[in-house]
Amino acid sequence: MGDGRMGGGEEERLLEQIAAGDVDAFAALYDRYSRSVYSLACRMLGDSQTAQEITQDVFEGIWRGARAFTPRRGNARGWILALAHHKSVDALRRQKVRAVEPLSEVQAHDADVVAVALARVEGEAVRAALGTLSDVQRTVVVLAYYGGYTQQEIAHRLAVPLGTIKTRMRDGLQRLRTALGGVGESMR
Amino acid sequence: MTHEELRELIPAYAIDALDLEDERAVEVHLEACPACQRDLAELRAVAAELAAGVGAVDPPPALRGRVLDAVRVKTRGPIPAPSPRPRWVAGALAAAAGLLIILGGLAAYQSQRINALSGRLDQQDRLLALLAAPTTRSAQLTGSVRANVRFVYDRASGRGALVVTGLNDPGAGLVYEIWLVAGTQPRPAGIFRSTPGQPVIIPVAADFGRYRAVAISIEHGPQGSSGGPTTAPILAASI
Repeated sequence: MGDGRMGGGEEERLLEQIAAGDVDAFAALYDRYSRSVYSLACRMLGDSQTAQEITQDVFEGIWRGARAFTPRRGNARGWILALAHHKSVDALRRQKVRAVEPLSEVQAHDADVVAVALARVEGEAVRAALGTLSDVQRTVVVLAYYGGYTQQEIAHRLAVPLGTIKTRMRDGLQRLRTALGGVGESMR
Repeated sequence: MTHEELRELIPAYAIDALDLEDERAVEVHLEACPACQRDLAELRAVAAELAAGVGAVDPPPALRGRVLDAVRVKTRGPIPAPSPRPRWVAGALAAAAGLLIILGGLAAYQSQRINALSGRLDQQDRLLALLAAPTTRSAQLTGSVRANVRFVYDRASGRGALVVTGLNDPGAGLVYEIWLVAGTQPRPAGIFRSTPGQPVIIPVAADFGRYRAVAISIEHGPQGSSGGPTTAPILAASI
């Protein structure tokens, strides 16, 4: 099962079949991707119950939205994991709005938040790639991607102008792409 | 925002680091900009690696059954919402027929008003953003008439739209009225007329998380009913 990677556009074909209402194709896609989707939600939310709800939501979104998938915005794997991330961030933000900010978060320095997030990253390639970023780039990318913070929130937390955060985010992601061996290069 | 300003937002968009307003602006822009679509494709590949980099946890095996069951239910079509007002009198429709001649002139007024509404550009932009939003859901309305009527809605932004094709004209002096149903008091959510072959899109904004169903009934034009539906709904879907 691994991270759900398949070769030769197989996922794209599955999405086409799912768009046509093929439940077997949907089950095949679930078997390929449920682990990646659930793991991401679990690591971001830290709560199995919410992660299960997000996973269910993501796959129902795939079922309904398979027709809307367009390869112009990236391959099927990128689309599915983007959906998983989007729903996880939504859930994180709802929690932040509802709950009083926990004491630990008020007191924690961002360095600690980043350290905690980084500790959840186990993939060797990604760890190494994150290691090629400057400290400030890594902080911004990790707070945004794993922490679910908006660029405005990050600027506020770090007391740095928004424009600087945008630059760090863009440069950080660009450097990650290079370090990961030019993923997504074929789209050019 | 200009293309350059929007393009600068693509990295943050790719990792969901924009607030709702910027996110919607990027989504609308993406519809029409191949250069930004290419940027997004590259950045999504990077984001996918970040996603795949977290330590793997196996989902509970029971989740598979729940997800597949949910989809199989959807394949059979949405469950029609229970009639919110069981005491609705079918006879009201017959009474309405008596008003046809008197109210006939008002139908033209109503359709002009609707054309003005759905023709507005910013609403089309909003609809595009709505359709592009990954959190947008869609429900097919079913009931006693044959028509293709879908309700698309996004709980996150509170935006939605009823997309109607192939629904017959309700009859002179009558309008279709949209209702959002929670508990016993349906909330009026818009009125429209329809002619087969001409799609109609009616924007609906609400806190959709509070409602269980969307329904359409036939009411006297041009204002419809404000206190609640006066006829049994012809189409409904749970949301």
